[in-house]
Amino acid sequence: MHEVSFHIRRAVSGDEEALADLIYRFYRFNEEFDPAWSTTRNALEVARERASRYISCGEGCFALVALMGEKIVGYAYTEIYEAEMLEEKNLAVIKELYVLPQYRRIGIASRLVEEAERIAREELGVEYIAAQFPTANFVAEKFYRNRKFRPFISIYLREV
Amino acid sequence: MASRIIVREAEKEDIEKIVPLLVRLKALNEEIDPHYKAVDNLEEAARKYLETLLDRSDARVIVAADAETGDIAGVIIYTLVDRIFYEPRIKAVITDFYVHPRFRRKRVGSLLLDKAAERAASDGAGIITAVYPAGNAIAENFYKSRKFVPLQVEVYRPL
Repeated sequence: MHEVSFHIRRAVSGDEEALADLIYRFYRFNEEFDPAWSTTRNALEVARERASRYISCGEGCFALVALMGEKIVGYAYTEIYEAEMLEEKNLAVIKELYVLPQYRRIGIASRLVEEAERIAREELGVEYIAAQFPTANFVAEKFYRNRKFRPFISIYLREV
Repeated sequence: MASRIIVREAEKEDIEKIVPLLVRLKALNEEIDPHYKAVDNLEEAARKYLETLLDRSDARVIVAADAETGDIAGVIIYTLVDRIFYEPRIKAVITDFYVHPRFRRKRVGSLLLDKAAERAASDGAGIITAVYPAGNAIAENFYKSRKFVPLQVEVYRPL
């Protein structure tokens, strides 16, 4: 079996277009799980703005990309939350994680999460990492459970 | 305000409005399993597929349309298969089924399925089945809640 080689790094200037495409795909996929995730008609444009923001975000967030050769094939976006009342004040939350379908099952998502954990722990001094995903995304649920994540917060929703 | 939905058989004039739904369905399948990698000319392929289906006597394309706007909220497609070794001989196989996210949780899927089952029975089908990617938990739950049970397993390996 041949070894598949990819690497992970922080998103940098120049990644905007590829990152925007992945962000767009992430939101389009989430749209399938609940109508409340319905995307706007200008979602791709919004994704471009987000990509720029993710690349330039300061200490409160960071974006990682996975590269296969020169091609960006996955990303993870993490935000740091401060909960003043809690003993462990800071919490890193993986808000978005996506790998292009044809590059799945080779460990890219796992490596993105591991790197997010490393940065949170070693560079930001955060003791907990969490992940958000639509409740009906059973693939994501299984993925995180397999990596020792446990349920933490539930969000319930209804139309008003 | 709730949309009024009309469920009816598709016509040639609907094709351009159905194509985006089929494209979304195939893109979703691609997310579920990379072996469903969609072709580059997905829109064109969907258009041709629909044109062919609408000319066939052993296939039905049924749509749910918003009565006010004419937007297509969902589509269900089945083909009739003669199971030459089994009774009942004719089965209707749902090959494509998609409701636009904006129209979910409004029973559009159920309306489409009911209409397809009714039409399939009038086509002479004795059973109705559905095929979908193995990891599609949403489809699995939908069909399970509507009394569908597993019938057949399809396995694969890349060559």
